[in-house]
Amino acid sequence: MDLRCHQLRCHTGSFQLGPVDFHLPPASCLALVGPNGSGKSTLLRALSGLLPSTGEILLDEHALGGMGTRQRARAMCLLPQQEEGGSAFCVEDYVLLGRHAHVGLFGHYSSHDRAVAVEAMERTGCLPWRARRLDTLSGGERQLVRLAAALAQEARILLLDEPGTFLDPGQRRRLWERLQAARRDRGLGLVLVTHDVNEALEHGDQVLALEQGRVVRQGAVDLLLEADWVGRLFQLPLKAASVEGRQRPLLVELSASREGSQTP
Amino acid sequence: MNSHPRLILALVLVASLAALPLALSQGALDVPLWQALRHPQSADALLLWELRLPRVLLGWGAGATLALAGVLLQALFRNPLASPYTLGISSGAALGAALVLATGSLAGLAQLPPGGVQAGAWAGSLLAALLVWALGRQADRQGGGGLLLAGVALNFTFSSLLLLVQVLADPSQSLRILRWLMGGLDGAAWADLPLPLLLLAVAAPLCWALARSLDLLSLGEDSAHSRGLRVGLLRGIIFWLSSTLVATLVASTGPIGFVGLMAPHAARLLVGPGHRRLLPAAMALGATLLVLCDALARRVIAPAELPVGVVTACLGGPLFLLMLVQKRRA
Repeated sequence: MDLRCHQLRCHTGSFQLGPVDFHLPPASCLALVGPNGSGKSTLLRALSGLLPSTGEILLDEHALGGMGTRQRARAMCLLPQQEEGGSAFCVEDYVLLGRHAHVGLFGHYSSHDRAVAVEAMERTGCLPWRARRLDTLSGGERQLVRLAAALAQEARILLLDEPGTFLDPGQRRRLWERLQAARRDRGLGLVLVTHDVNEALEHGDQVLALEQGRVVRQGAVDLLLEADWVGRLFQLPLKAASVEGRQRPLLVELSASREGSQTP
Repeated sequence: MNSHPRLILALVLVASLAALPLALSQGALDVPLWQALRHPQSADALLLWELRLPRVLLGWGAGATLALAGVLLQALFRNPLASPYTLGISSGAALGAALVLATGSLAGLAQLPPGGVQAGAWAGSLLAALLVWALGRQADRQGGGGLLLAGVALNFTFSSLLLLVQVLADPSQSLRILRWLMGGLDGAAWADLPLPLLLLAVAAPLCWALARSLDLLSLGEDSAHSRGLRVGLLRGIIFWLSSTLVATLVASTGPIGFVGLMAPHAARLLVGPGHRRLLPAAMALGATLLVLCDALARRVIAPAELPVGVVTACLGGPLFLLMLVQKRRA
């Protein structure tokens, strides 16, 4: 699915976001970067229809504003940083809730819905825990379950709000393996909000940088290797450094001075 | 959650039906059911048919209604401490009823017109619901949780006004107001049954049909919306449905505490968080609890009676604490 955003503007209280323009082709990943309060999550919420906005959001040339809630859910799914409830559900019941946009008015699950949920659990490696309650799983396992629910929703675009925040490096790696597989196999498009510039570099195709609600840079993700502007954005001294075995260099932080912290 | 939730649900439903004959036979006078059925013209049969049966049925319906409203409001606010009385609807009803009782006395009426107190309670709840909805929506536009905050604030306001009415009313009317506030099923007649039971018969299947949507709402509004739920519409349905249920019930029985808070919790422990099972289980537990508490209220100081609201509160507090301890251990 093709996502286009044209002159998108959004106002929440005194905060103004926009104008934002971008084009996300199918199966590609747009990374949204910027310091705290720059408007990344606001943009994500505006894209998902949670916040009112002006301008145009087009999904395969269809205006998002003209879509019903269920139709929109079949096209796009938001994975918020944390979920407020639902921890008492067992994994299978939780993943099945992802089928809401596909079931009838009374929420009856067909055998097809159950098969889709099982497949989503299989893809994300959650099937062995299907009968366990969410609150008995680790943060990383829970994130995989939430991804399974998003895959069961069969949306074509996933809006990810800092998906790796509470995960250890191994869990983060496994989450990204599943996300990349879904991109490859299903043509899933990703809009990724992240504070981790290297995560954006590794998984993104395009980057859009925000500062105080305005777009300050956008283009191919290699833009992030220009350490000067990224450093100014986060107010940090950064440098691109090549690492053996990695396709792209990493951005590393240059410590101002370690002398002050060293014991004599 | 139990590993056999379907079996537990079936047992809970059977228990709620089994509580009916048990409660029918209990009271200041023990009435063996089979004797009353064999001699339909006897005094026992008359007592059973005209006094006990409508009371027990109203108790059953009231318990189920309070539990249903409790489940709905806990889902609406995603707060396990929400109860049918959180929104201030019952305080509005209490204020309306108290005003009718107090002004009737001031106007020198020896006896209030039939249904006067109920009408006052109804008008009070309607006013409360309209105010909470209007103020809550306004506050929601500026942030979140407006409905809950408006409900809690109006609850306090109505409760203060109620105290004022009680202080200003003459002592006998003040006592009547206090008695009404304790909630009770005494004096229930066949004529009191159709409206609350009909409303329950309409609301329960409607809520059951919305069970999956209620499950989604419990995940949080962002997640629910992202999965295709029309959150605003569902919130409106829950608010007005639970307000109507509570208003109708409180007008008939007065505010009966704890059932609407405890039954949903107990049901969640037994059958899990999914509303397809939670709704019938909570309603059955609420009905059982209230019917048995009312039977107890008739027996404890027989031939006098305790208001059933006092019994539910006395039993409800310790039971609720016990449940919390059990849950923590689990």
